[in-house]
Amino acid sequence: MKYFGGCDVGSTYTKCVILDENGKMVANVTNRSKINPVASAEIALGDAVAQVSGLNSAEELSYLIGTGYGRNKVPFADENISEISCHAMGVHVTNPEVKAIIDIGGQDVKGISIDTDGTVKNFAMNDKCAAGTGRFYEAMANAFEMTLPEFSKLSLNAKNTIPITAQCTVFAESEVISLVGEGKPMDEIAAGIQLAVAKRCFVMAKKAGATDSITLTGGCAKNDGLKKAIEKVLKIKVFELSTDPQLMGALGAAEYARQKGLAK
Amino acid sequence: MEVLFIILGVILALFVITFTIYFFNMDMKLIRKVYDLLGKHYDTMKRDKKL
Amino acid sequence: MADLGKLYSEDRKAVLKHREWRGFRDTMYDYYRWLVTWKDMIVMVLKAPVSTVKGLWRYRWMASYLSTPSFIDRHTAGLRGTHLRIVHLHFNMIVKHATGLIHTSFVADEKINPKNKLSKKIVLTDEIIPNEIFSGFPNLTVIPLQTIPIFLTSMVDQQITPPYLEVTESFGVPADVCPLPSAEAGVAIEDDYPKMGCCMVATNMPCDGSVMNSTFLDRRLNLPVHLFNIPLRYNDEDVQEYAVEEVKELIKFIEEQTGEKFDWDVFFEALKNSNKQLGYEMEKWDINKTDCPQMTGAAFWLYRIYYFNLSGGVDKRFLKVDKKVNKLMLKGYEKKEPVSKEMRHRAVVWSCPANYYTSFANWLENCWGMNVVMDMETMISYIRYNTEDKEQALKDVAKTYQRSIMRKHTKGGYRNVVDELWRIVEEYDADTVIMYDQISCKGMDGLAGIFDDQARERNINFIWVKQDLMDPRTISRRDMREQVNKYMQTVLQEEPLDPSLVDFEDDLAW
Repeated sequence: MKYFGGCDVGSTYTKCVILDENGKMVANVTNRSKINPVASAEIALGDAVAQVSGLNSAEELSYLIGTGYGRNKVPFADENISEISCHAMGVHVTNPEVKAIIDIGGQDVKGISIDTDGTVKNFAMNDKCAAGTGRFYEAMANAFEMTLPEFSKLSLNAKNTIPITAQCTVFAESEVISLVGEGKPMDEIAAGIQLAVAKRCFVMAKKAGATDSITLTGGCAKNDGLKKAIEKVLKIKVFELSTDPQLMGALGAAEYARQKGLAK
Repeated sequence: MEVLFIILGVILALFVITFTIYFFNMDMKLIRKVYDLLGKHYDTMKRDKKL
Repeated sequence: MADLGKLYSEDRKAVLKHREWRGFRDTMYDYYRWLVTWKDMIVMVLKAPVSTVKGLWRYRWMASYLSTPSFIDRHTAGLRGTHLRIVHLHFNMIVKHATGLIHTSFVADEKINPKNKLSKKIVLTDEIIPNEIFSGFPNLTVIPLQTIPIFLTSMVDQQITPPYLEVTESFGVPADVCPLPSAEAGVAIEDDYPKMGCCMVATNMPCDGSVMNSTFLDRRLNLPVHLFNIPLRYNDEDVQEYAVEEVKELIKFIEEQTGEKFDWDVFFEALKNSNKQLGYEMEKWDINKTDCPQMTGAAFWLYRIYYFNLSGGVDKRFLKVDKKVNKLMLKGYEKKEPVSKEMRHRAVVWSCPANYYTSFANWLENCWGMNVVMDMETMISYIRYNTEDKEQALKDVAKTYQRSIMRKHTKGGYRNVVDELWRIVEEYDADTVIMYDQISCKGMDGLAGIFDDQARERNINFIWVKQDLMDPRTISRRDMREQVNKYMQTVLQEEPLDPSLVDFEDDLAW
């Protein structure tokens, strides 16, 4: 049996997926990224290989594709492909009906529209500002003294939304602390935070030409409150993915590896 | 005739020298060093910033 | 032509390890033009050696001009044949004219030559005001104040602006102001403008940023200042009377300040030259509409905005250059000479280019086979002047001024920038638009969604490239390239023509 690997070195998390020649996922890993992206990739790959009984080392992979945030590439991979392409392919193999993605990573937000073969039709990204990204949510959850999963569900039952006016993560955190100090309902503040992020996502999605059949990827896709806010702002249903949305980049990379490896 | 050879020799020498400078970009490599030194001078110059 | 990226030094300064070997003929031609450039620079020094050396010691921006051959190298990288020759002719003319301006500035500078007589015969103008109207004062020397110290320098050397921006910010001006007026204000604060002139003509062009920095200039120069206002709604006939009045007021101001009388004969002569120049320019455009363009990239708009603003029909050398260039272009077109190694895409560049990366189009061509056949700044006013009737001539000049750089397309309504883009794309048979997004400018912000939607309808590759005009720190040259790389690799899934150019470090380069 041949095995194909995809490694996605993100700013916050490093993900690795191994597929067999039939496209079945046989291993997946999500680790916190180290400051050295190469070390992050090596550790994640090692952990993923350990999950596959037919593999002893990463060198035994028939093809390995790396991808990642900014210049975080995997130098020892057979090839590096852009994370935008990998996310599109990952979503396409998971659910071919999906035509657009909003990817919210640790430090950037992307809107991607997908073509019928899983390639990218167009994209838009904001990687100059961390507002509305994973870092933003970490800061908010800290301000609420909650874990991320706890925070993500907080807004679901809010009766009203208290708008957050600050555009910047740093100032938004100050604003949230002030609101909490004033005794405003926490769930309504949380709803305001989710709405602020959803609006930014809306802009990215529109720029990329995404109109329907949309899904969320990246770590923030697991945020139920955000998903609800995006559905409200975009006025369309957001597809749920059957595979962990945070793995889409690595899955797409592994799928590209499988296609290229089998074609060799 | 001898003068002609001397002139030709000088032209050839000038060509070789200038072409070497040109091709190996020696002019800009030197200017880069001068530029970096001048930068330090400009940074420490006294200026009248009163408007 | 491949492996151009391997010529750069690895220390982030991107000084060429050696110049390109372009084949015997083209290398000899390039060598000859390099000699001409150095000759022009040395002649400038020899005309006033003491003043020039003092100027170099005194002004930070003068050191940038020492790298002029490198500036030309960036714009001729990868070029061969007719294209190489055309670009060299254009750049050499810019060098000839600019060295003349530098020489005059140093001779007239009261900080360098305290008792010189030339200073009081100089009229300073804002660099955005085209030269036509000043041609009517042949006994005066008109110098665009900011061109040599900062505007042209920022194209030659990306490192020149940050020190001036920092100084402006230390004076309390917000950091998100457009770097153009901010840098110009910084030069004033640092007292890095030559001290000369009997009066100054300021303007509201290209935008309110100019009005902001006028305060700093006014306080530094301490000269009588006239504010020359240009209407925004330039397609409307009802603003034209006002526009002509402004031109007349400008003439009156200069006459009052200098004692000189406006010379209509000399003025009409300059307008005739401008018309001839425009004729040559439009011939170039016609050739670029065909399937065999002869000049693509930055030389088009750089040369155009240079003579548009600094000659205004006065300097006939620009006409001689264009006559030669057009002959070469027609010959190249008739022989069906390819403009580059491989032209995969015909692109139109829209919105204001980044001063700190004028050779971006050259990189597009060499790395991705994307040839820029037309751009927004070349498409500034193409009004032919009436050269017999005084009132009509002034009307034509007023209309031209309303259609100047960073103005014609960003003002007067969205049709001037949106509809105009698609007209150019169709005329030049382009399949790609490189859309600059100058992040400090609000001028075109409201139209982003419209551009995206209309590009999708037309099936045009629409590549947004964020940049910060004159500040390379916010979005570096490498960041600009990466935005194109992402699109080419992800959406178009193309392999680069020259992989060595895809990613390299040049943040410390000129």
